[in-house]
Amino acid sequence: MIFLPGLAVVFAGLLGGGGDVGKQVEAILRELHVKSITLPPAQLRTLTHHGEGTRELVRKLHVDGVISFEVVGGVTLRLVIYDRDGGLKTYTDMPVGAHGLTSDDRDVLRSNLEDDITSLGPSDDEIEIDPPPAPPAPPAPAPAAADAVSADEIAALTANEAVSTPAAPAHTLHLGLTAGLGVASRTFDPGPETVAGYRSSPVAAVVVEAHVQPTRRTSLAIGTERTLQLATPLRDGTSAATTISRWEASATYAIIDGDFELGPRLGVGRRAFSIDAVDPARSPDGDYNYVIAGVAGAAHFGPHVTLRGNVLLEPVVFGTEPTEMAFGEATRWALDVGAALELRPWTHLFARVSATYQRFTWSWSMAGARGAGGAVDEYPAGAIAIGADY
Amino acid sequence: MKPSVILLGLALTGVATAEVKKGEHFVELDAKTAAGKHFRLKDMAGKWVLFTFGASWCEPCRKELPAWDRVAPKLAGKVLFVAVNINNDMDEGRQFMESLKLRHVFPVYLPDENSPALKAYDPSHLPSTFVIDPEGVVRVVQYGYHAGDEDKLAQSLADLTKK
Repeated sequence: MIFLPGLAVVFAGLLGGGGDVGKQVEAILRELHVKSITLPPAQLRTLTHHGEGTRELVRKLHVDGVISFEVVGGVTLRLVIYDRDGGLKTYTDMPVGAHGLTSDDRDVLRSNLEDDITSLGPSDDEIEIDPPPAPPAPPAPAPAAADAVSADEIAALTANEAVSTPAAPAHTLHLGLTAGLGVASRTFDPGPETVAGYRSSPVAAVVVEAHVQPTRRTSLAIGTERTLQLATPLRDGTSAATTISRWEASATYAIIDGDFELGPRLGVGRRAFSIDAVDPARSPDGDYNYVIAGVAGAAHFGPHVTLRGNVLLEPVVFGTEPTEMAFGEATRWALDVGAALELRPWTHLFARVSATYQRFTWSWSMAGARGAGGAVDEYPAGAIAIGADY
Repeated sequence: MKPSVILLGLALTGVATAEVKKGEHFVELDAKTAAGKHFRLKDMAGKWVLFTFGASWCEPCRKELPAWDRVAPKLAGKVLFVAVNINNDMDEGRQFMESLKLRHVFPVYLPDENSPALKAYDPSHLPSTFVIDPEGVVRVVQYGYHAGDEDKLAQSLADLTKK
């Protein structure tokens, strides 16, 4: 056998057969020092049927030749050999019996394979007899072309900061602004009969929110909500302009787990209600200045849909208390729950549909003695807003 | 590449099989970065590279990539983490990648479903993850993602890169 240094011819497998003929073929190929590789049956079939895609498949193997077999119908052994470019070198069928190849057939096969393998090598004038075995060259970390990203660039870009937009300077500061219209209402049930309650139907309101996200997990937000056209009827038949307003500033830390975010939210806020009238029988003005403490979360359903929610406790630290003269100072606190659905058709633009419910509870330490069982002040609201962030 | 194309491919082939297997040399990827530069595995010669194929419509990918992002710092300087997005619409792919806010996984884009490289890696299973060593030999092939896979593979990579 001619020694062809560096000639890599591989045996890709035998399709549709095993048993005796398989062992015989493998033994011959071992004698010829042909290395075996394993290809999926579909690819092996592509080789033995010399179909579309054969050339591409062979080229991807990066070898000097590929040998494949198939037992066809249990009676024929097909041998198909390709050169390094996927060119068909041999396509022959030979009969096989119940016990595989006869001794003569095996000799013929061995001889044919030897010739075929030899023919897969370079031409005679290119054959180097007994060259020094060249060790495999270590991969040279060649510099990437100017229009290609290099390993060092990737290492640098992924070392610390966000890399989703490598064209832009690496930073994590995100800014966002949301504005929209919605509805807001108030229901005040004061408890003591001497204080007038209040109930409004939902009226138009404007909502504005801005946020900054200095880190991936941290965001700072401020927001405000204010009714646009609310009027309160008075005893004299007129009506007075009325305002329900709210503003908040909060910080949220998010613990991120895949599509889900959950974390604490802390902040401060103010809720105010005022009627522009001096009618003593009207429901009193009031305001709450409170601390925010609770949790906020988000669930991302693909890149375009996000569901957000929060549950917050808001103890009131100070504010106008219209019943203080009569009943003493009340303990006031709020439960605030909110949910929002964000639809993001584009990367930096989104629409948000949100609903909030803020419920202030009043209680007096001497409530029993004064007949004041407590008060409840509720502020449900909803909004549709458009936002942009970067 | 659309899900329907993947499903059709699976239906035709029965069982999806990647041409690139563990122990074999990598097949080149000619992907693009968001900035339009070429990303080629040959340019990563001498480095360990983990690259994973994913798309915006692949729900497990949405979990897998942040998971890689979490463990990547543990292997900083040893392994490059690359996310190969195969959305047909590169803008859609970019939106998806940006929404994940990855810090330690480098996104590249391969929007051509007829790409020979894509066929060679046959990411009919998404996500599908490959690790090549500094010699360019595929050392890890992993299909799918389940919570905790990242820690197991990170440990394997830590062991491999010590050798």
